[in-house]
Amino acid sequence: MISVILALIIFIIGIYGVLISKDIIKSLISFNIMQAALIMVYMDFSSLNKNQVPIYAEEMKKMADPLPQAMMLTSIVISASITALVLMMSIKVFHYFGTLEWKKIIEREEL
Amino acid sequence: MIYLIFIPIITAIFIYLIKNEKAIKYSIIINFIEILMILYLLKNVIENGSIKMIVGNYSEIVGISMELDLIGSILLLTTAFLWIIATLYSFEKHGKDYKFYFFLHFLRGTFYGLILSNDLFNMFIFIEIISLISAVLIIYKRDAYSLRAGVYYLLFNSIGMIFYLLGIVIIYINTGTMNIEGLMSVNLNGTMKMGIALVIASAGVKSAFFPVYNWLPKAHTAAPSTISALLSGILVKTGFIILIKIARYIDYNIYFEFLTIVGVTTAILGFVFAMSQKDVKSILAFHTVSQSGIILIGLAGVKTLQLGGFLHLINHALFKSLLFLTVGLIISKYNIRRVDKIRGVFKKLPVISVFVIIGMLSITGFPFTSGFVSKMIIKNYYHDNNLMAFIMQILNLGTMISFMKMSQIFFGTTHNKEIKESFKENISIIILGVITLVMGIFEMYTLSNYFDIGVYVGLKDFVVYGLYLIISYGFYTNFLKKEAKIFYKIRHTHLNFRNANVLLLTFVVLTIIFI
Repeated sequence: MISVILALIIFIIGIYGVLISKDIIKSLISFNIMQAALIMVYMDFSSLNKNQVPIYAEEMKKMADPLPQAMMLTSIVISASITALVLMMSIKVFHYFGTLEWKKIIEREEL
Repeated sequence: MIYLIFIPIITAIFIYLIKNEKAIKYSIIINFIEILMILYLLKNVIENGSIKMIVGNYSEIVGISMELDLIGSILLLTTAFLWIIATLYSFEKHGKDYKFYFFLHFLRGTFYGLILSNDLFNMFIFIEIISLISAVLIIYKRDAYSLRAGVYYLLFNSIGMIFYLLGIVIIYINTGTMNIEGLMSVNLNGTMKMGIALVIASAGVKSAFFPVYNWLPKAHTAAPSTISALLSGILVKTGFIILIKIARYIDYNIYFEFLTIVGVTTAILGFVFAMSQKDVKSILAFHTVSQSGIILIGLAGVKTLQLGGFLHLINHALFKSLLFLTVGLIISKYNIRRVDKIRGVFKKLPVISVFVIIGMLSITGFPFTSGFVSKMIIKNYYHDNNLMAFIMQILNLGTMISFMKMSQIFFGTTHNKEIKESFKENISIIILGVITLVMGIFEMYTLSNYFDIGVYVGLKDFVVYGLYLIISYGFYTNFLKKEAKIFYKIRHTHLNFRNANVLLLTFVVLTIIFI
């Protein structure tokens, strides 16, 4: 239970970050924080009541659900690739605009 | 069925490895093979009902389940067809760039995957791959404007999809499976409703519903014309596909009213914004928002209403990509994008302008065109409800007014002598335009013969259309030509990323409260 509360706190921090952050990198970091909180939620309920990891054990009483763990591996990969792509694009954005702040980027309308 | 996902992806990898111009040209054969496969599947589906399979022969609870029903196979067919058109169209412009075709083929494979998969988490994976690849394609021009739009698109959509993940974990705790059919077995209590609300909210982000539409016009105007056509034709429909898939297993009454209201606001605001734009492409982009609203009004319901929404989804895919492709050609010839600077298209480019007019007639609902049929089904459903009938008429009028503004590009004269059209470039547009034109009559025939839904055209429809034309011309000359102050203000309102996220969070909270 305590880890769910912890995940909730981290998730709220992430949302807060997304709402207040002024530039691309900070938004990206907040996005990653939200993702981390979600991974915690998934991990937590898959091993409620101190269930064991289903790898190898002498005596297995209660098995943790392996499905969410497999899912989270995939979603970690996805969020890593999104992070990589956004970082790459933000380098280019900095190259063009000289800044990474959302406000200044949006204001410079060339069309 | 599963080969359909892997064939385009393997083709894409081959193109990337071979790096040959001829290989790119011949890769279109693969598209035709896919169309044949889809037609075979469609025949099977019509004869024997939906096809189900589970990858790797696991049990239904843990395995990745796939399902193809009639709706899915029609979507597959539209996707495959539009991709052929887009590939043909882009040969002239990007014919030598193997990287462009690598992403184009890959994207098609993942989109087939999304349509086929019947598993909530698997859908998440495909949606994320789609946003990643389309972000790469949006920034294809690598200028400042497109990079900004790409970053905005990718980050905003990823944050939207986090709510999807949160939603499906709630559903998973309640049902114990990621299979969508698991939704059927549980009763909808508070937490379960919250999960579904989160899933619907993230579908709203992907399909640009009202408060969270902001990424769409940016991305569409920045992308190359081929990609904007595919974006607004196919990829914007991602959210609707989620909605169609979950609507089969849950009671639609829980979201019907909320989504109808969201749909109406999206549709009205879409054309108000479209009226005030000056960039040709952003007029079309805001129209995508407006039409998504109409599709949503349809898909919020069931049976006839849902059928109308689904038909409008398919029709919108056809005519909006036709408009984007033709306008893309005009822009590349004139090298300007301002709607008040392009003049004399009809004299210089007669074939292209005929097809632009076909697209405009369809989107404004001229009798016998496809847009008319699908809008008519939605209208007929609401014939007792005065308010909704009135709103549908307003939507029609608004669409017409903003296209009246765009149709000014046909008139006048231009002094640029280099503008000429060639058959080679036009061939893809001609195929798509003819199909769009025939589609309306085909739909009327199929509906009356197989679904017992009659859509009839009377003299009244022509008269109403004519009257609307006159009203919208009056509106155009009085307000839009001189540019009333309010339109200037609307055009210059920009939402930065923070404000967009505030709206996103508001939308999510509203969805949770009202569902």
